[in-house]
Amino acid sequence: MISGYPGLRITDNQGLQLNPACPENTESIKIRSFQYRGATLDLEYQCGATQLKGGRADTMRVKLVDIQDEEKFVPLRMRSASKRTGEKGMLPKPLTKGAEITLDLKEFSKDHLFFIY
Amino acid sequence: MFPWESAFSGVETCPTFAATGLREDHINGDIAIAIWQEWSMRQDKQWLREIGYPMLMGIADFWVSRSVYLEGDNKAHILDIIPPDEYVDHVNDSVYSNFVAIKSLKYAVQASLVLNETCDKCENYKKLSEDIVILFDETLGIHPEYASYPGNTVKQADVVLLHYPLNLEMPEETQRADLEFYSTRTDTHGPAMTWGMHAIGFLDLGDHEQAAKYFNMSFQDNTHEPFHVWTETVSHFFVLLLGMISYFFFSFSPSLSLMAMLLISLLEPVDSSRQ
Repeated sequence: MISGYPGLRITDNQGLQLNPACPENTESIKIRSFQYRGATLDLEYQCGATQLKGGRADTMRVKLVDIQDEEKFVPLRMRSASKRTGEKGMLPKPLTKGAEITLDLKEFSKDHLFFIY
Repeated sequence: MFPWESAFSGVETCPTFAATGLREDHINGDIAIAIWQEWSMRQDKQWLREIGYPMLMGIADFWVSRSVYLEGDNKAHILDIIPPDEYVDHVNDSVYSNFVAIKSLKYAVQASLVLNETCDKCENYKKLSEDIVILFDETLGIHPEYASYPGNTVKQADVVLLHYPLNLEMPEETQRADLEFYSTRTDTHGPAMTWGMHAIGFLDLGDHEQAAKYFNMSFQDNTHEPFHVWTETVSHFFVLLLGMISYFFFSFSPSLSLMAMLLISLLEPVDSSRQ
């Protein structure tokens, strides 16, 4: 329920990996108050009507809801990376307090992983 | 090194009739991984300097002491061990154990770099991490569980853990071959967390049909009326509280990591003012 369908992984050197997928007959997945590098994150995947058999989520929303220590906090960023081609893409907005990034995953090929670092 | 079962004292309390306390040495590598995950999640340099780094150096020294170079192949080997598959004992070059040893050695080197610490031993750690053998069967296209593995039934997830949580880079066809090979050789009455590892592996391959099958296997047959109590094995009605807690909070993550995190919490220095 954490590393499987939501695909959250602690990588050795690339930060927090997300690989958003939904089990069959699921409308959405929400992970609230996930603590990462001094930030409190809310993650939400919308599975969409096409996911009755399970599969890649339709959209992914990442919101940074709180910061534990403003002075020590280093702003987080997100990027995407293709498993097959290695092609990387930086997502434009840094994750600061209150920031929210919503991605339409249909714009990415299914082998794309996402990282918060 | 670290005990298999520690109770409050931190010393080994695993009874000697169970050889796991004597030879299931991968626990040390599991703890190194938990330390690095803690560092990755918090980026707390003070914690790494005071707690994590000394532990990583000690674990790396353990693997140095546990490795041997055999004549003829210029490779390092770890002999006489119990792998995660506890149905076997006294095996050599368990791929899981060897890979956690490699990761432990690399983490010690990486930690010294992060902290800018002088590390005289790190050259040796680096060389050993490159020399420890990871077995691969070119004919079957799979990782054999250990040297001369005959293909017999395994108790629980072992080789399939190389992909998750160990992140060993391998071609997708090898990952699939490992999953398919060991899914037919895993004891169906073994611990249910095994199937969660298979589900994760197939999810990463984009095979949602197989993932759903193993996701369901990981809990469907292990719930029992009248209270829907969750048990570790299908036939074993003894409730493992830790297993239940880990399912609720860490489902799909290996109980080994949870155990390691618990061990770390026990091993942190005690505030002397409270003694």
